[in-house]
Order: sequence, then C-alpha cells, then structure tokens
Amino acid sequence: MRQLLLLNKILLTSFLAVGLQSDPIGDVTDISGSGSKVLRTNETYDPDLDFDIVSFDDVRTGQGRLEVTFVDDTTLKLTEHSKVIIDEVVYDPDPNKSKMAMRFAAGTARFATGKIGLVPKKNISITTPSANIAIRGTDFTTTVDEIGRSLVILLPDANGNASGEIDVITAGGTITLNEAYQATMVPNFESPPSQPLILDLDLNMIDNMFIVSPPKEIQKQEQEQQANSNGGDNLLDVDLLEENLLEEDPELSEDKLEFTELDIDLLDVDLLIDVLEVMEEIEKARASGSSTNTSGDGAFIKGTTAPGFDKVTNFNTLIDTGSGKVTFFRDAGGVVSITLSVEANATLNATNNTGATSEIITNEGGAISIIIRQNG
Amino acid sequence: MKNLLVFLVALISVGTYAQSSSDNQVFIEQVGDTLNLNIQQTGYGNKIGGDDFSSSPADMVITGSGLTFDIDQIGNQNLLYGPVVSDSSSFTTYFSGDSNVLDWNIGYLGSTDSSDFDLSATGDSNTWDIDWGYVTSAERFDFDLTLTGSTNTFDIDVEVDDATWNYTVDGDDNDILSSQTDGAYQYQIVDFTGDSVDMDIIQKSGTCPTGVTTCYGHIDLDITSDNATIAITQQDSTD
Repeated sequence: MRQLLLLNKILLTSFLAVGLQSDPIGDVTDISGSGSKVLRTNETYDPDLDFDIVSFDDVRTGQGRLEVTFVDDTTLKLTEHSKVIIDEVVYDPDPNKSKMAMRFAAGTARFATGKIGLVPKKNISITTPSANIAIRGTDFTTTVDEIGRSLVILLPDANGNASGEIDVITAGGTITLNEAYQATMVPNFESPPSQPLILDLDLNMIDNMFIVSPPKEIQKQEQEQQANSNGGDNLLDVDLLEENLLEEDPELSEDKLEFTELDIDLLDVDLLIDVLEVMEEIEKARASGSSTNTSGDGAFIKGTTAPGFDKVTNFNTLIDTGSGKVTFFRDAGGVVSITLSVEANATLNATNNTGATSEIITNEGGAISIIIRQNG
Repeated sequence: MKNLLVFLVALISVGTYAQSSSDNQVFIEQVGDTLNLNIQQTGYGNKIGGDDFSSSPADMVITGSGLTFDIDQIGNQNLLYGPVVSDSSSFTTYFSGDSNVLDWNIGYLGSTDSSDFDLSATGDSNTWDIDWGYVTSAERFDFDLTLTGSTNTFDIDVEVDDATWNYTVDGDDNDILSSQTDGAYQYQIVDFTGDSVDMDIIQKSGTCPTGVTTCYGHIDLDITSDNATIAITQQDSTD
C-alpha cells in the first residue's frame, strides 16, 4: 500500500512537471502601452521586454500592444485588448517533432511562422472560439470579436504572393485560403466559414496595425509633441479617456482586460471588426440569394461580380454594350463560355470541380435555364 | 495516268438504282482513294445508302483516303445512311426539306483522320444521328454544322482527339444532344437562336497524349432565346 502511494506521488509529480512546462518557449520582444498581462497558473505577471513565455501562458493586452517571438522565430503580435492562450510550442530541428498549439480568444493577432512553417499541419493546432485553423508556412491575422466571431486573413509574402495556405475548419465545413489578402469569416463553430473574399488591403495598412513600438525617431517626435501640449495644466488639455486615469480608478482598473466601449481603439481594432461585419452581411446576402450586382450596362446580374472576375463563382463576366451581349467565362480545368443577350432572363447553375455551386441570374431569370457541371 | 486508273477503280463498284419515280435511290459501295463523289438528289423520298432499301435501310460503304464527298438532298423524307472510312477527306452535305433522316457513322470501321465535314440543312423535323470516330481513330476533325429549321432532333457524338465542332442552329423546338468524348483538345462552339430548345452539351476528355498534361475542353455557347433548357457537362475523364 505504501509503495502504491509512493508510486502515485511519483506519477503526480511527473505529470505536474510535464504539465507546467516551465522552460521558456519564447519571450516578449516588443511591448507598448499598458495593461498587458500574462496569467500563469495562479499568478498574474506584468510582462516587460525579454519576459519569458512558457507553455500554457495566457497572454492578454489592455491599452497596449505586445509581440512574442518563439524559439523557432515565429512571431505573434497582439493589438489592444487581445487574448491568446499559448498551450504548447515545441521546436525541434526535425519538423515532424515540432509542435505548436494556441488559442486566440479575443482581439486581433498577427501570426507569422518562423521555422515552424515547415512543420506538418497536423502538428499545429490554432483555434478561435468559432474555428480551427490549419496552417502551412503562413503569415496571417485573426480577429475575434466579443461574441466569438472570427475573421481570418491570409497575408502575402515579401514578393506579394500568398505566404502559405490556411484551412479554416468548422463543424459546418472547411474553406482554404491560398491567395494574398483572401479572407473568411466564421460566425460560430456550427456554421461553415464564409466563401473567401479578396480584401482590398495593402501590407502597409496591416503593418501599421501591428506596429508595437514606433521607430525611435517617431517616438521622439511624439514625446516632443506631448511635452509641448502638456506645457500648461489647462483643464481642457486633460484627456478623460487617457489610460492612466482609468487605471487610477479602483473600480475601473479592477478588470482592465474586459472589453468596454471606451477601451476600443477606433482607428485600429475597428478596421478588422468592420471587415468581419461586412463579410457577415455579404454571406447572409449570398445565402439568401439576394447578392446583387448591377452592372449598369443594361444587364441586371445577380450572384456574381459583373462586370469582372468573381473569386467565389470563378466566372469572369464581360458586358459588351455595343453588341448587347453579356458573357460568363470560367476556366475550371475546362473552359465554358456562355454568351447571352443583356436582356435575357437566364439562370445559370454552375458546379465546379470542388463541388462548389453558384447561381447566377440575369434580369428576372428562369426563361433560359443553363446547368453547368465542370469537373476539372 | 495513274490517278486516272485509281479514279476508274474507285468507280467500279458504285451502283445506282431507281426503284420508282418518287423514290430516287443511290446504292454505294466504294473502295479506293481520291474519289470525287458528287450527288444531287431532288424530290421526295430520296435515299442514299448501302442497298436498295427494300427492307430496312442499310449503310453505304465508302473506304479510301483523300475523298471529296459532296451530297445535296433537296426534298422531303430523304435518307442518308452509311459508314465512311476515309482519312484526309472532305465531306460537304446539304439538305433542304423536311423530315429528312441522316444516320452516319464515320471512322466506325477504320480510321478517318484529318477530315473536314461541312453539313448544312434547311428544314423542319429532321433527325440526325452522327457518330464520328466511334471505334477507330478520327483525329484532327473539323466539323461545321449550319441548321435552319424547327423541331429538329440531332444526336451527334464526336469521340476523337483534337476536334473542333462548330454548329449554328436557328429555329424553335429543337432537341440537340452534342457529345464530345474520349479525346483531348476538344473545342465546341455553339451559336443558337430560337425558343424552346432542349440542349445537352457534353465534353469529356479522355487520355492525354503521352507527356501532355494540359489537354482540356473548351465550350463556347452563344444563345439568343426567350426560353431554353441547356445542360453543359464538362469532365476530365470518360467516367
């Protein structure tokens, strides 16, 4: 009996030793603002530069930003009011032995893989409240809003090409992002991810969003401007929303990590939150069949971009006002080109080689029924 | 002189029968190269085939290469039946009239490569069944069809590599099945004007030539209609 108890004690100790994973897996390489916290077991830390990050750390930002660099050079940048739980990062020269697992719980984060980019997808587990994300060699952002909706954007590499490939997976389906600035939105885990859209963003906008600490020259300029503006103790110069005032109030500082209307940085966070909401509206419209594109060239076309190329339907729509014709062109392994009068009432139901379906309606639709099945 | 002998040999087994004043019948069984065949039938119930049509229609037999084939049937209820085995040949046929029947197998018994087929018709209630390259090789096929008329039914199967199939149809209530299968580099161009059409367009590419991975089909459909039902199937294999 005594031996059994001893064995139990040894096993428990071993489990805790493994579970705590106290070896650093990365450190804080940049930090700005205030309110950032690291929750570890029952302790809360105020991280500073070079603060060690270990497995199972719960990293949160308040009125500031933070960058973590992991042992494999993977970087994780968090904007204001973000929360990430870093479950595990194991780096081994053998990619098959490397692992990474983390949960994005709130806010906006940018994740750029280092050597872990070579790790098989199955060894990387990244989740949001509404989706699982499988990556391969990727630079991407996630935005999780207060009700758990997720926005995932694949960013370009240095050459402007897609930096890798992302599978966004829910119980309702999987969407693959493999083009730069391609994005998908997930309302909840039961729903499929939205059809991917290419966002009209550029890398400067993204980079600016994730700058943790401005370059020294800009910092100096800001300090000088601040010094000039604080030259007098004029009551009108006091910013009532300024973070230190809030922190000095015991009631307000009790839970600084909680989302409040005052906490949100309208210039940054709202950009991707807005994108998320717009994508949800587009998805709702698409699902209800009311996604409408009016060409303005005599044809009334629903269900695809007109004129132009639609990333979802993969149809390129050309409108020739001279001949009064509209052409839908798609290359899905084979080429199908349908030309109709701009006045035709047609319905095109198209299935591509992945099984995705799309419906395009010209004018009132129905009179001409065209069913297209393309299987590579 | 040699060409003349070939031409004479080619004509040896061509027979013509006239059974009645209303039914002109042409019975053809021909073997040889460089045949230049011109037939113009005018009237009701004309027939071109492989026998005297005393029972069911039989196919005419034409075997050779470098043939020039020009058949005009002008009138109603005409019949044209037959398999043709002929590489590098040119076929031109013209039909004018109603209720004509064309049942033609080309490349059915032997290769019919590098051929050009121009078919034009004006009339209603015609029925066509054309199989090109059903069994044997019929590569580099160029097929053009112009049809003006209504209530026509045509079933055209093109099972060849490198085929360009171009058809223009103007009329109502036509029933069209156009199938390109078992081949690579297929091009199907359709220009359709008319109402109440029921059209099936199938394009299934077969095995690519060795070393080629990019063979695929191309369908261009230009339709002017107030109501139509069109199904387009484009697949990578013959499955």
